[in-house]
Amino acid sequence: MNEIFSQLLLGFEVALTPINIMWTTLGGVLGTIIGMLPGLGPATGVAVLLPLTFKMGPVGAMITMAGVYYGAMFGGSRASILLNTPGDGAAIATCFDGYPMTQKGRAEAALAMSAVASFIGGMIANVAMVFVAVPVAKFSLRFGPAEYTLLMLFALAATAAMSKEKILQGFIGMTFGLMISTVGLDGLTGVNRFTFGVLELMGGVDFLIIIIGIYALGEVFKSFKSVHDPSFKMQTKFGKIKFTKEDWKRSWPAILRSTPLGFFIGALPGAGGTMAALMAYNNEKNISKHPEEFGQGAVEGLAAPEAANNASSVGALIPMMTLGIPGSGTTAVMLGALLMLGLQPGPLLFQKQPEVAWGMIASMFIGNIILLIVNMPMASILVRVLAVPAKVLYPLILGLAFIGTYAITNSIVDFFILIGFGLIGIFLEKAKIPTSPLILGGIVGATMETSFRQALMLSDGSPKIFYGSPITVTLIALTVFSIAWPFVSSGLKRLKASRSV
Amino acid sequence: MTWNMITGLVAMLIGVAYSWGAWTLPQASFGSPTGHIIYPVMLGGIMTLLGLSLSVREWLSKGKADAKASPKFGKLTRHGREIALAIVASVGYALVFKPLGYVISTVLYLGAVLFLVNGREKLTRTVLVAVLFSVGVYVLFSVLLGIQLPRMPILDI
Repeated sequence: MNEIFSQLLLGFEVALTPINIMWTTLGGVLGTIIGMLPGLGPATGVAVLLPLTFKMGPVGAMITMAGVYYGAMFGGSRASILLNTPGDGAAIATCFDGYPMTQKGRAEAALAMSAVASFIGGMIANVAMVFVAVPVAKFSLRFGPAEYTLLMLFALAATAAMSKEKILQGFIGMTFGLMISTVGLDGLTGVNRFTFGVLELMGGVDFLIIIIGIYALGEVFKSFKSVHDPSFKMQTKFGKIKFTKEDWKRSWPAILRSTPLGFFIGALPGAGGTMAALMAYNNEKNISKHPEEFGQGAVEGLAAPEAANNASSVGALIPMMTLGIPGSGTTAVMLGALLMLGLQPGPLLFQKQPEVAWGMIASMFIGNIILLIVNMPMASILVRVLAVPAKVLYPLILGLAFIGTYAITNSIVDFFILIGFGLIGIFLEKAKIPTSPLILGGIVGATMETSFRQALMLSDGSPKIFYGSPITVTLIALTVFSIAWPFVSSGLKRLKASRSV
Repeated sequence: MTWNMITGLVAMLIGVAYSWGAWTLPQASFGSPTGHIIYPVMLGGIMTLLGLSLSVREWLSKGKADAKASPKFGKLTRHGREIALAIVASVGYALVFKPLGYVISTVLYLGAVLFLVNGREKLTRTVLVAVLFSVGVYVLFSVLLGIQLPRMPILDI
């Protein structure tokens, strides 16, 4: 226990230096702005803003990227509340009661409550992370290549099996991502695979480019539809951003209930912010004494998902930071960005570079406070970004996407890959293939293949290494369970429905 | 032909082509001679099976097709035309990026895309935004962040 506190203290020493406070603020504010824009969430923010961190050094870069990540979670709710257009998936549930509040002339209260709920959710989840991170990291030191292979398989399967209707599409996306990760020079044998003689492909396809292609280019192309929509107007004059005592009395229990829920869901692979927010919302609606007010501007219906999605974004960082295995598309992008910066998240990060790992954790406490300040008194200034016509903003995002790509790889070949994946992004949307499994597959693919082959080398080719230990058997069981669960749960629902009739 | 059917067929095609590509890879001269082949062949096989299942499921569930489940071909909508033009502009941008240098190529590209969505109205805004953004980003990246961007070939700035 003392060890944790001394490490956390070290983290605060790092995070409280003026330059790092500045990076935290910069990351948080930029993340908030990107998060506000409809369709663009933390994944796009991290990918597009990555080049900004190239000169910062590992600590500064990590702190800035984390700031962008949770800043985008703060910002995602602004557009939900004011425009009824979620900034990203996790902010969908915020529309349900946030927008009705705006329609009733209570936009100020909604903005204030969402900032405070996000703040509390994020802070409590940070405290939980401080205590969970080290034990998880220590436990995972027992993992060998076979355990890692199965752990990644579990994370992938859980993400791909998120919805029963799209389960095949999810696995197709995942396999496609894994395939892309095999392009390039094979590290273990030195054979070129799937490069078709193109020199630039020898180093592999940079997955950050694919992310920028799908999330930035693809989303902007899709949004061309809405830029001509004249109803896309929002309130630009605000009173004081605050809520009433009555609002607070109704909301705080909802916030406290939704935070642990969000944190837990976030830490699980596959689920993530969207699910956490929707579950928190439904949960509050079910236990409320006046469920009929939900959807009509009930303030607790806004507070619950906001607390849950911020808590889940912190929870989602745990597997990524401590195991080096992301459990969602967004944290996969974070992992890709950190690898690009030469940082390898995982148990060894806590041992070898504690100032990076703990500096980031400590900076998240500071960042939450900064974002509360930014999002309360200054909210009316920040949301003006939303009033900038979409017709100007979206073309600029295209410009940022290209410059970001060039800064990452310095090569024009990647421009064509970028455009190609922008097109693929449109196709994925039309064909209803979820993007998260594809991104996750692409980012963990190379590591998974290496672990898989190393495990087989260790065992002289015997597959028994994958089911010979308690840890591997547990992981296999979890994987099977996560694939079967959507079917089991819908079966149970049907059973319940037929009984009650 | 529904989207699901297309997805299934494309997945099968990719699966088969990818497996075949992996199968015909040269053997490694050091390390395990076939280690780099088995894993991708497995992936290709899985992809083929997934595509096959999706196609078969779609074929069996025929009947209740709604309009959104199938792609519409023929005349491009305004939205589709704008996307197509934006992609053409993007490809053009990739082609002139090196020869014209960052600033000029970006002014042209952003100008084109802004014109595409805004049309003839607010032309001054279009020009102003394109120029300010290009110059601003150039200064930010190459002066402050030290990332080398292609310079303008003639003026060398």
